[in-house]
Amino acid sequence: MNMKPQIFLIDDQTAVIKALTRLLNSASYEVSSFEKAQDFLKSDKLNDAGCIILDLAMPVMDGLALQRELSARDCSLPIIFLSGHGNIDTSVLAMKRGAFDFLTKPVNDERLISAIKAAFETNQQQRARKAELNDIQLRLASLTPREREVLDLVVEGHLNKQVASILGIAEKTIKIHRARVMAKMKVRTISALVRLIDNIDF
Amino acid sequence: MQFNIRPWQSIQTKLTLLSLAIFWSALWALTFYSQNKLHEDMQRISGEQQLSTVSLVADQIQRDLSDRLDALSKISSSVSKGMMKNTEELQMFLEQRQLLQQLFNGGVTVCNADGTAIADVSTTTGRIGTNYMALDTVANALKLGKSSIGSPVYGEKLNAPVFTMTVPIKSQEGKILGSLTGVVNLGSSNFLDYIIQNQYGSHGGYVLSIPDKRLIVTGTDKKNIMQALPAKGNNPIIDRFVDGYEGSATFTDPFHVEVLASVKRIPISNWMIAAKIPVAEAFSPARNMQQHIFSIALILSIATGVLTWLILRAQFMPLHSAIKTLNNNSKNKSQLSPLPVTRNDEIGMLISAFNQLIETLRERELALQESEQFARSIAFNIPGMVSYWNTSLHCTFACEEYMNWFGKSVEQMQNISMLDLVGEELYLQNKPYIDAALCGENVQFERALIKPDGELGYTWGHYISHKINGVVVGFFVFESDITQQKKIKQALEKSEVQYRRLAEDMPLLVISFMSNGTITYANSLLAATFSRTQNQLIGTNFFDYLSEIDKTTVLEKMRLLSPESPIESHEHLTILPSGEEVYQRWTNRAFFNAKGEMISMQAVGEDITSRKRLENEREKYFRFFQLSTDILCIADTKGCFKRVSPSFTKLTGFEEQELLTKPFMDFVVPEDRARTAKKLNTRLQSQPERRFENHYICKDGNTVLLSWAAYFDQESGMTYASARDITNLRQIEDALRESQARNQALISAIPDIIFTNNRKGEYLSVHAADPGMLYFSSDYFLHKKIHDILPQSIAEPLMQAVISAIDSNTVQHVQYRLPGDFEQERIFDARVVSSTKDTAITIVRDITELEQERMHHEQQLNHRLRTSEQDLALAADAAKLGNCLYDFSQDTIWASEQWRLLYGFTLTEPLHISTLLQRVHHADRQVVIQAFPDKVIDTDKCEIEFRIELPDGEIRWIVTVAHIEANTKGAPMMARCVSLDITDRKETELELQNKRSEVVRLSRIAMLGELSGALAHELNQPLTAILSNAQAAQRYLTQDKLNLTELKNILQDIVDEDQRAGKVIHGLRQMFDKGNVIEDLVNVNELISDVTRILRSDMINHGVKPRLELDPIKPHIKANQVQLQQVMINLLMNACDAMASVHASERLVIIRTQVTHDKLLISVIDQGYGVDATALDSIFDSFFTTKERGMGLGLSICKKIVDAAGGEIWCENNATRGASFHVSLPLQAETNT
Repeated sequence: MNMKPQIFLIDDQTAVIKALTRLLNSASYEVSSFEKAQDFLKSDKLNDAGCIILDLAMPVMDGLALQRELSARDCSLPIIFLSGHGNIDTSVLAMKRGAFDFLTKPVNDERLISAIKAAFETNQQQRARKAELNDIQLRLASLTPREREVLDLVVEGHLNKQVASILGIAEKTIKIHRARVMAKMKVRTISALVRLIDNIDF
Repeated sequence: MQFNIRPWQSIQTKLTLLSLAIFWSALWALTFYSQNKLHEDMQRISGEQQLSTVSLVADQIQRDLSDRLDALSKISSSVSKGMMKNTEELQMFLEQRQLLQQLFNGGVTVCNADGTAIADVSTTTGRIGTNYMALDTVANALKLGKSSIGSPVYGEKLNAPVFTMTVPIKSQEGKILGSLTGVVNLGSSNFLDYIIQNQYGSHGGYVLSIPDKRLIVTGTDKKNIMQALPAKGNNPIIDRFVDGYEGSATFTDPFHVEVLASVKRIPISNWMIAAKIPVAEAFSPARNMQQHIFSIALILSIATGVLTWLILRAQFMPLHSAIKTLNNNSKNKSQLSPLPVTRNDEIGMLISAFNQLIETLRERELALQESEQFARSIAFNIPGMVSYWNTSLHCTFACEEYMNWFGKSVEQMQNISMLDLVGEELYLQNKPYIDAALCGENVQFERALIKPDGELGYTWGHYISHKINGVVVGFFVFESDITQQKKIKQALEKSEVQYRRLAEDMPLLVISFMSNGTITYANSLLAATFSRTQNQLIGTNFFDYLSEIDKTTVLEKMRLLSPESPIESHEHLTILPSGEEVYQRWTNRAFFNAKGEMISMQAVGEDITSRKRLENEREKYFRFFQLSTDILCIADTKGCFKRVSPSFTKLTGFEEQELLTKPFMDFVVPEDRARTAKKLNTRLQSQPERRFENHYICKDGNTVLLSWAAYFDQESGMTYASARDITNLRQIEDALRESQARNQALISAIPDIIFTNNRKGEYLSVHAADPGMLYFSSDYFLHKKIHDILPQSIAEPLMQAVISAIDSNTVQHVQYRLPGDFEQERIFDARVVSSTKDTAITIVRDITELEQERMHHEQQLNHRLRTSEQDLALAADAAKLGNCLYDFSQDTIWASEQWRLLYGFTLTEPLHISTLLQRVHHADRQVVIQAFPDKVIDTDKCEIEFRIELPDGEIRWIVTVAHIEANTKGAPMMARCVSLDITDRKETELELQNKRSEVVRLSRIAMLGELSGALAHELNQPLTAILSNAQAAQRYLTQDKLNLTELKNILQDIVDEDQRAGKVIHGLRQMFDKGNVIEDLVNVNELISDVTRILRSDMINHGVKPRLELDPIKPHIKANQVQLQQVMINLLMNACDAMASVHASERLVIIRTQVTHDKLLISVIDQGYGVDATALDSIFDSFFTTKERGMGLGLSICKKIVDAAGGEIWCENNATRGASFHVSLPLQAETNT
């Protein structure tokens, strides 16, 4: 996984790709360009850091279709649409589907670069959050089913005694389970645990 | 075979019963065992329970009794000596002791030392003063100073059973002062009742008894109080209890109820307490159990029985069905078929084995049947009677013929005894043969039999004894019916005798001899011929009697005979020994053996000498008959030919035999029959000779005419006739006559005058239909010359014609006029033809009227022609048509008034081609000049449209149709022209065209509106690239290190993109341009690439993939680029629309260019749903549309553009799917390769 943010430029017009690549290179960005939406899908860059600059009108698979496919594949790269003649319908649709920005051709470099910067920022945050969530999920996965039950009840605010009566086991055992849950979830306090679980539940 | 078995014989039933019995006994044994065991266990457990209960009760009673004794003792110790003395005080004392009264319901009594009651507390009175010394307890207390509990006694005061407890009242010194007695009234409720009144179980109870006295103290049942126990020895168990046994036992109590009882001793009173319960109750669970087990066992047994039976039935089912099949087979005698094997178990195996057996059996049966069939067919088919008799002489087999012989049916014949069949008489006749056959000999014999139908029959019989292992078991009878042979033999013998007699009697010579000549028979006449007797001849050689010639003849004839033709007849001349010459006719018949060798000859001879001589005579005459060319015949009295000459058969074609068989009248033509008969019937008259003619029918259907001369011979009745064929003669005569008559008729019918002249001009014959037609009588002409009759002016050419007709043998025409009646000149037409080589026939006809009529007709025709010309001129005027006539040779134009008006010429102005051309608009002048050809083949028609400029400057459109006539050399001679002013029409056309181009432009604009999005995109692409490139360049420029190569590249890209954008804009402007259509050479491939580029985004929007299949020969055509673009855009957009509802993956449009030798074909092929077949024709019409929002102009504009470019556009549906639009355009020479 490449951690340096990149720009994935997808446009079927060679001239446009060439010009934009040049422009972005001049602004010291790393650019990977694709002439077809499918080529990008086939590449292994879907989980890389960065953002996508996507042409709306392309043969075979157009920009909106690619956007849909990417969201289906759980790709978190922000998409900046670049359209030749963007009508309102398509831009609204693209934004609704979570496009990061919608720019029209010809595009001003400052406008483009500021959009890219914002997109990188967002992507960075998303990735960090995703990594955290992954970590919590991993920790949760390490719990045994019983521990998981205990955890759920504790998070709901039950006391040890109540948990013991709900689960029909001794309070002493609950205490042991609870200690293990805390250790496995790597938290010291119950409030920390609750925050952790709230994070993933959200 | 009996297949029904009784149910109890069936294995199924047996097995069922056996298994049922086993099951049942096992079940019962189990039930019995468990029941006993249960009983035992229950008894033990119940007994133990009972004992523990009774122990408890005993404890309680012990305690109660001791409590009471203690209470008595305590009170007794309080009684002082003084009290004993003072009874009142004592009475007080006692009454104060309420406790005692509670403990003893019968009261408490104090007796003094002698046993007399002194104080008493009780419900009754009267005790005081009574001496109770008799009571054992009182006695014990007073005498022995002992406390005791007494036996129950009947308390007189209480009038109830009571028992007492007494303690001594002792003084401090130990002296017995008296006794204190507590009475327990058993009759009323007492402390024992609390314990004992409780029932044990529902029917059981307690009994408290005193074993020493065998007396019952009290019990649950109050009736038992004071009852005695059974006397010792009556009940060993009770005895055992009385003897001190503590425990449980079962026994029958005094009430004859079997009970379970347990006993415990109460030591204090030496009583025993017994608890009892009826066994029935105690063991009721066991009994219930027993009943359950019994019913379950019963149900199980029945179920098992049924189940076993069913299983067995199912198991045996194949066997049953096999048995049934076999039974049916054997009952129906049908062919054995294999039994079905349903299960692969023992039964299945058994059936399979049985099937094998059946198969073997069937094969054997078949073999047996076959051999029997064979034997039977032999027996039935041999020509004889066959039967078989067993030793008891009963028939077991008889063939059909045998039965027929005896007239018996098959049923009657079955097992019939021989005596019954043949009758006693015949039986006795046969007896010896039968006996012999039964002894094992084979005998054969012949005999006569009277058959059942009464006829006498003969048979030849064989009796063949049938032995098996040397023992005779019967015999075969073979009888052959030889009646027929016998009869034939007899008839033969008889006929032989008759034949001999006939041979003797006949006036013929009869002889039979062997092939070697040995005479076997000769009749007496023959013998006489040889001057011998019959007997002398027989045995001698026939050939010895014959002359050498005769012998050769006979041998010759014999050699010719064969089995196929054994009869021969011949005549020959022989010289008798007497020297007389005789003619003999011999008929010989040879007899042959089977090998075809001659055995014997029989010859019959006849003396035909006299007849022969007559025949010879006749033969001589017959020769003439044969030779005659005329027809000769002889008919008999019946009217049949007896004889006909060969000439007759030749003429008619019938065979001689055919002529002889039928009456001759049949051959005469029916119309002639009556006449012929009449002629012949006059024969009876004196004149025997007669002549007549009649027609005969030939074999081929034709008729011939015969001329007959007949002679009727009265003596013989025969008719002798001779005839000659006169058919041809008569026909020729007829034809001649007919032709003469016809000629005559013809001549008389002709209305012409016919002359015959010779070379010299002399009239040989004259004919006139009407003599009046001639100026002279017809005789006047004869032998006069033409010159003599006609005037010189006419005679000369006529004479000339006659001579030339004769010489040249051709028809000559001469026309001349002669004055007729009423001063009228008449016109004659003469035709002269040669008749013979010296004569000519002249036919003269009066054609005066004919000629007049012709002339009149001609006049009429001329008149009509003139009228029609005037009409035409009128019509031309009305239609504003101007006519003109141009004479090429003179260069003059004749023109109608209208024409001059049309062209603005005055009516008188002389016109030439140059004056006409001056009028023609200078732009069209060349067109007009070209319309006049140098050379014309036949007649040429042309139509030209041109403008003329009138003197006042007005321009008018003229259409002229010209017919140009040529002379024989092909040079134009004359042109007839019709001109019409079409200015109005032309103006309308032009206006229409302008409107059309307006519509085209409008639609173009409309289309551009639609395309604007695409164009924007198209422009945006280069603009994006330019902007980005430029900004990139700006950024590079700010960097410290300048990358000049990169900057150069950027600038180049900017230029390229800019040019691209310029192109787009240029194309756009062209589209909007309204200017005139400019045609230039267009590279179609390039144009198509451009169009697909322009439509790229639209096609993307439609999801359509374009595929270009362009001809490598880059085709150039002359057309307006923009218009052609428009056509392509239109077709492509249509294709996109057509595929809107097709699955996205199938939206493909193929654009193809193909170059043929002079044409370019552009095809746009889509994969949509095609064009409705009914719409194919109208699809190019204006305002025809299938789209919801279409104007219906696109395709019509396309068509107009293509038509204008001289091409064609059409549409067709593809074979697979979708439609194709084809544009065909003329190709220009500049096409590059």
